[in-house]
Amino acid sequence: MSETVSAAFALHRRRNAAVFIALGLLVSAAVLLGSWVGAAGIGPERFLVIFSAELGLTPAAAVSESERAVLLFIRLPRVALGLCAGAALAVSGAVLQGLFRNPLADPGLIGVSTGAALAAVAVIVFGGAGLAAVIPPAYVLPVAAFAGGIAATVMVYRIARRDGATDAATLLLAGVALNALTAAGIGALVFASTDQQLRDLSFWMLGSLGNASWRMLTVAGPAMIAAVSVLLLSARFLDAMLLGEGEARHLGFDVEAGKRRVVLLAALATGGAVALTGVIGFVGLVVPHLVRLVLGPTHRLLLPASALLGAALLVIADLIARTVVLPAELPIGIVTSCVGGPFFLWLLTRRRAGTGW
Amino acid sequence: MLAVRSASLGYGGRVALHGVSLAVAPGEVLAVIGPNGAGKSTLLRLLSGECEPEAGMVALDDVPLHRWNARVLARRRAVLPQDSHLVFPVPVPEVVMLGRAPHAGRRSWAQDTATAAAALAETGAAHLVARVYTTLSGGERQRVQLARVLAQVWPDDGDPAPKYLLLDEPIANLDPAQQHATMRIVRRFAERGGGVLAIVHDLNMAAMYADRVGVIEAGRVVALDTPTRVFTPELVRRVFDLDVSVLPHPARDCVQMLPA
Repeated sequence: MSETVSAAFALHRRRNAAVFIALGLLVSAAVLLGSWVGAAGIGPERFLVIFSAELGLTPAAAVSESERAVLLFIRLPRVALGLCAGAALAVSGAVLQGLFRNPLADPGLIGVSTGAALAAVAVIVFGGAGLAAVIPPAYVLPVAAFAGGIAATVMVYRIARRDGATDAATLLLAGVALNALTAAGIGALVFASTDQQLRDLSFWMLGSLGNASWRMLTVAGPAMIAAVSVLLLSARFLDAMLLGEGEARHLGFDVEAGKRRVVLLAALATGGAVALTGVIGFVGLVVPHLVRLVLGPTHRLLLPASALLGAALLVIADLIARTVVLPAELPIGIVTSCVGGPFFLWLLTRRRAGTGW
Repeated sequence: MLAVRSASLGYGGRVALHGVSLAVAPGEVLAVIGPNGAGKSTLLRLLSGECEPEAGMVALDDVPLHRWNARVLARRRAVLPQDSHLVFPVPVPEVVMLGRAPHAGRRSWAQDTATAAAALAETGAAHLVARVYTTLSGGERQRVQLARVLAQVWPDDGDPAPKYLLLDEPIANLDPAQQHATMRIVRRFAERGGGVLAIVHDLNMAAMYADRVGVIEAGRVVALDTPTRVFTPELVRRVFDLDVSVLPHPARDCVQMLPA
């Protein structure tokens, strides 16, 4: 008997290892393609030449300054931002779906995306002059967005908190209500905006990795990576939460502290992503579902796999966004929604009654 | 010893329990019976530490529950809820392994899987090992959940302190054969030195498998003794508003009740 169970586990382990190897290859492929392909093609051969020159292995004279700049200061930061933001959004979506035991939860549901959007839109429309006095102008928009996202999440969390306990259903509904309010605020600001502001707005509302720079990433990157890493360590708690809050408590978990930690870390990860890229839909919703189809809902596997798949998909989506209508650039949110929407509908229709998610 | 001492608790102005005292000892099965709304579930919630009494106290080995570290407590007692809300397709072994969560870092993965396997075998659910929880029938789910709580307080743990099981209507949704199978599992747990408190609706099951029966009526313990002493036609009429004849079981050393 014990052998059967151990065999069942071992079988899972082999399959899981294969899935993770495939995901690792997908991420590598996305990183390479994301660096090679674009308005100025670089290609594998030039890529190697530039890198070996950077490392001092070959003379720097073999590399043109513009080629070097495109790869090191335009392509690579974009790829890095795509990896961080994709992983942050996908893992946030996965943990919130688990925490709320609701497969439709996505990072936006705790208010972080729309809160960030409202703050960003306000800065675009009213100008960030006041903020620019204390922080470098380039940081004004991301900082405002991040603060707006965190503020909205804290507000949602406070509303749902009663007698020291947070009710998951109330938290979801509070998020829905706050999202509606924020959307109204954004609508009003859009109405009051000028044509130029409107262009900036729509780009921000639909997301873009176009503002990627190493300078921005050194601030937001570590925050996203740290938040995602700590979330990965919450896998067992989230597994127990799938059974129910009471069951998790009886298994010895501090449920309130765990919920607070997961919600705030998800807000931190998503807030960091949204601050640099604008609102990118569907990654946080669809990626965890895709992973669950293959690996099941166990968070020990779901979370790292979601991080890898989210990272790879966002880099690929960005590749499509910036090459499909050259020389212009499509907002990345349009790409993710075009792919994610139909995919999610397909997922809904193939789901058989009673088999759960 | 897992004990409630003169505990009182109310919800929204209504008192659910009045000065209840009751203790589960290692090695015994204590069945708690009573009409709907008498306070049985509240008692279970007190004993599991899910809520605290307004007066009195709940203690494991004479230490109040709230002073126990949550994980250490979880290694000493497991709780089987009435129904589960698991809607994600978790593989059966993973569900059972969750019972080992409070033991994380104390034993190897191989030891934990061996315990999980033994718990699944104990509940007669070994054949479900390759299945996914959401595709199971109600009875199969109940067996897997029972295996999970058994894995949580599995006796072979290097820790000699007695373990406790709190079961909220563990046989409510099972067919007759399954009901008896479950009660036999519970008895085996007690015979290995564990203490069990089970809320049971079926008086005859309580009479057959419990060492002691606690009767709760309107938030008070009105009887607490061996089944033979507790189950009298007078008590059943008074508490359950039901006329019964109490007869000795023809083959076993216990009483059974028939509607009069």
